[in-house]
Amino acid sequence: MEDPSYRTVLLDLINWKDERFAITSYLSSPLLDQSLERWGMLAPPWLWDTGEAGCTIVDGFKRLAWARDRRLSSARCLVFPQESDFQRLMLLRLETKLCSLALNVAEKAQVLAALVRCALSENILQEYLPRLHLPARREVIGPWCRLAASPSRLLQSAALGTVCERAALVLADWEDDARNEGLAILEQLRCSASIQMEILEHVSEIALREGKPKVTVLTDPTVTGLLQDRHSNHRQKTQALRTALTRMRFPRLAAREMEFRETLARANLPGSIRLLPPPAFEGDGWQLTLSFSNPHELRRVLPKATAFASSPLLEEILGKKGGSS
Amino acid sequence: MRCTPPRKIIVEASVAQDPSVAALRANLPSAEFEVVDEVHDTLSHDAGLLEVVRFRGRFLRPCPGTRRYHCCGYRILHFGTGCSLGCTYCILQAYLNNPNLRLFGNTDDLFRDLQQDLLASPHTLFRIGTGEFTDSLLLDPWTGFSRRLVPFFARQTNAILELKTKTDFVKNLEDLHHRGRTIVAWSLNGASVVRGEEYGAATLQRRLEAARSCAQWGYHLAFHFDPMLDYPGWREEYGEVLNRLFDTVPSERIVWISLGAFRFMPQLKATIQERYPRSPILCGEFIKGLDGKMRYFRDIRVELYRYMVERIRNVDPTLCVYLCMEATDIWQEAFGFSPERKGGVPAMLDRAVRERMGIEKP
Ligand code: SF4
Repeated sequence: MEDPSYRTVLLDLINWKDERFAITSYLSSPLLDQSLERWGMLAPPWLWDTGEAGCTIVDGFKRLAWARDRRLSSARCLVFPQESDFQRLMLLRLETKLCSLALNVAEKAQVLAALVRCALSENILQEYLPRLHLPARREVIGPWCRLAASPSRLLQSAALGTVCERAALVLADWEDDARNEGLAILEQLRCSASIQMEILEHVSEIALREGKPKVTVLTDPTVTGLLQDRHSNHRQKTQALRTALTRMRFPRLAAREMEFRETLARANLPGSIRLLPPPAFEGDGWQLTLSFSNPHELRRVLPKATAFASSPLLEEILGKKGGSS
Repeated sequence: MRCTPPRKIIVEASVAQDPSVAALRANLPSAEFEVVDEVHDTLSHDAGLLEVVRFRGRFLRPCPGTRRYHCCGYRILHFGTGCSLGCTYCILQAYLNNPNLRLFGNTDDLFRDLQQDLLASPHTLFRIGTGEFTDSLLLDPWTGFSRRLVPFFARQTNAILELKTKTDFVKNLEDLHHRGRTIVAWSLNGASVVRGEEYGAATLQRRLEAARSCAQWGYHLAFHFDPMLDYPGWREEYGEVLNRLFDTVPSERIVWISLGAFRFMPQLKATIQERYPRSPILCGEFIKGLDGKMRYFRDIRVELYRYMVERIRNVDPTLCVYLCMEATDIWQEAFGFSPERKGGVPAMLDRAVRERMGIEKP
């Protein structure tokens, strides 16, 4: 490949529609904007002279767009000659990306997808995945490429951090309608990464178990009803959605919890006595807690606890239905 | 079955003269053999590859039970690792460092250590199985290992062998001198589980036919409904399997039936999701058990077990049925008694050995 040369290029010669080298950040760049306003273009963009078709932008999309918006007629650029090899140019372009500030999720996905098209798979595994802070495993590549090929709405949300990296990778694999619904919900709720994953996982598993599309779970009237509730804020909606999905995901456990609460209510225990089942009713680690602030209170509450301990209701709650031991 | 013979065998030089390698060479004439100094662990899976290595650990080990759940006191004879039957739920996917089939080629050491262990505790009845880290009979057509193992157990006074499989590879067992000291056992499951989740294993029909053959050759039998899955129609399907089982083999040949609801280490979930994204097995109501494994919410387990116990009792009330790794409260609800009342699970199984196989505790 012949060496590139610095040239002042008329902006009219740029083929703005050719976006083969574009790696969209989906974010505004206020620092770059300020710098351009103050100093102009400090680093020359890269162009590829494609002959009759004009010049293709290789690197510097934002800088050149700024120049165009400012109605500048030309810009000083580093121009690669026409005989340059596309793949090699792309690798150079990716190299600059990889050396720049931390990439956002959308950029990371696009860089990896571009590398898959033009770098050797051994190099991707050994060199580029570690540089992208991804585990050096072959199976990592597919999901990121699918994210790169996702509609821009998902990439934008991922770039903005509205959906976390793992949730973006999951949503990239969903059908269009489910992805749009799921994304809309996560954008509305603005919840933590772990809660986003919990929501998506519950939706997937409910759909798979019940053999229905994910979008049906997401548009279930219970779900839509609580998301549209005008009286709750996004935190309350998040909690309500988690509860509803957990009930749908674990219907029998939820029913058992409900039954437990109802049976316990019949015991009319004072607020100072609490019966706690083992987590998910697994094992025999039940707890009865008594709260008191002085000996008198304890003396008052103890007989009630003792009476409860010998009541048939306790047997019923503990669910010993299997006969004599 | 989708099981094909190994295409390539890599043998460590130090075990190249072992009888198991000689058997492989004789039974797999078109396979490629390569002898190397040492076989290294690898991450890449090759379904047609068999590695024969020298094993330097203990061949006989206790079953990895946990304190919080009742264990059967079974011992594992560790003769190889890995399995190519590809059950979606297989715990080996999360367990083993090496994804390929591996056999321990120092079988003389295996038999020597085993004999020493048995002699060291002459008053213990050892119930020993080989199907914990692999399928007991998966490679048997080519290694012929059962032809050495079964007669070895026939000579012992304080041990019985259980070969656990999902294959129908029983041909080698036909003419062996077993002295009634080998149990041949099959994992069974509902028809749609066999179709959808055990697609590399033998069909139910072939497993049951193989069991019938073994019964005709005088072997005792065992069956393991493990992992039991909770899915729409499980009652009908498990009931149907029991019907077919009792129609095919005489129940008095069955020493025990175990039941175990699906459980898995949390880290297995990602592996199953990645390999079998359409499998619904992870969509059950799983909670974290007292041993850290994910298991069905207890009421579901009780329902699965109770149903099976009742159905089995209707056919053969004295047949030993036990739960694999369950707590007292689950036993209590499924059977109406706790294992302690019967002296514990190991004692229940020892009793079954005595009553069904006529073998007394030494
Ligand atoms: S047969 Fe057993 S060891 Fe083999 S894949 Fe299935 S569960 Fe795993």
